[in-house]
Amino acid sequence: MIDEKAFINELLNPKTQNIGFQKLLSLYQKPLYNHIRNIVLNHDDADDVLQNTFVKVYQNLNNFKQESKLFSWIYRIATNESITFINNKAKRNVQTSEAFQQKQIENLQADVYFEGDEIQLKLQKAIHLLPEKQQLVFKMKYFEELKYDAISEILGTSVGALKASYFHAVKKIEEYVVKN
Amino acid sequence: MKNFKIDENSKKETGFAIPENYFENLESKIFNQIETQEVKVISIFQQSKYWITAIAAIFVIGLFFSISSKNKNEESVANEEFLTSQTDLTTEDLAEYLTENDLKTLEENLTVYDQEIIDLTKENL
Repeated sequence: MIDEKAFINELLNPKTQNIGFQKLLSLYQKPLYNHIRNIVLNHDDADDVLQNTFVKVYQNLNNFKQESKLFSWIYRIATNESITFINNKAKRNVQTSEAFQQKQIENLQADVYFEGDEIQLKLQKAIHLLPEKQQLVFKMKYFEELKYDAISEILGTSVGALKASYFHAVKKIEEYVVKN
Repeated sequence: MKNFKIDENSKKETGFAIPENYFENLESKIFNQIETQEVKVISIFQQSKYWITAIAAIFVIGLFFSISSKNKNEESVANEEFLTSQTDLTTEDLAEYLTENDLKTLEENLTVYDQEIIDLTKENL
């Protein structure tokens, strides 16, 4: 595990900034891609959002207050970028974000980069019927296997509330899969 | 499906696939984006520099024209004054400045005028 303080100093020092940022990329690109892909669903959109996220991280390194961990700060930027991306795309299609996401789910079956079986597709459908917060919590806990403490720092929600959200999400998903 | 328990059933993956070699090119794509965005910032600055230069150039050209047209006015007024003062200029004096050809054309044109003048005077007398 990298020493967080030394790493942040490396990122803030103009002389070592690029090397530091390369390290940050190799550390975060895969988990962050998965996090974003889970929200925006298709690969091209995830690619766009991931690149925007890293550019934003780079440009705002000097504004990083160090009140939270670098990890949660980066995840927070990625989450916000993903949600803004969906909202903007929905707006452009004159749709609500929910309707837009439903359409994205329907497109999954034909997506060359979706290799899920019937149950995995059903799981995705069930998740996307949940309220936004429950969706996020479920994806981060179940697919990304993040700890409640980490999710709590990223989403700014108490661990207790997160556990309740996850519990509700699981119940609803199980019901949906059994019924359909 | 009769029974489905998220945390008891075997763990399900998302089902999302990633294009091959995607992460290999990602770093250079991101650094390119960062560079283009930095260049963009500079180019806005340069653009404003261009605008300032363009506006300055327009002022300089405008100034030049206003001065030169002022000079021209002064010049033509001076010429007119000179011409009016030189009342004793004769046809011969003028002819000295004209070539053979000029004189020929003048003559041809003038005959037409002469004929017209004669006709007009005849009609009106």
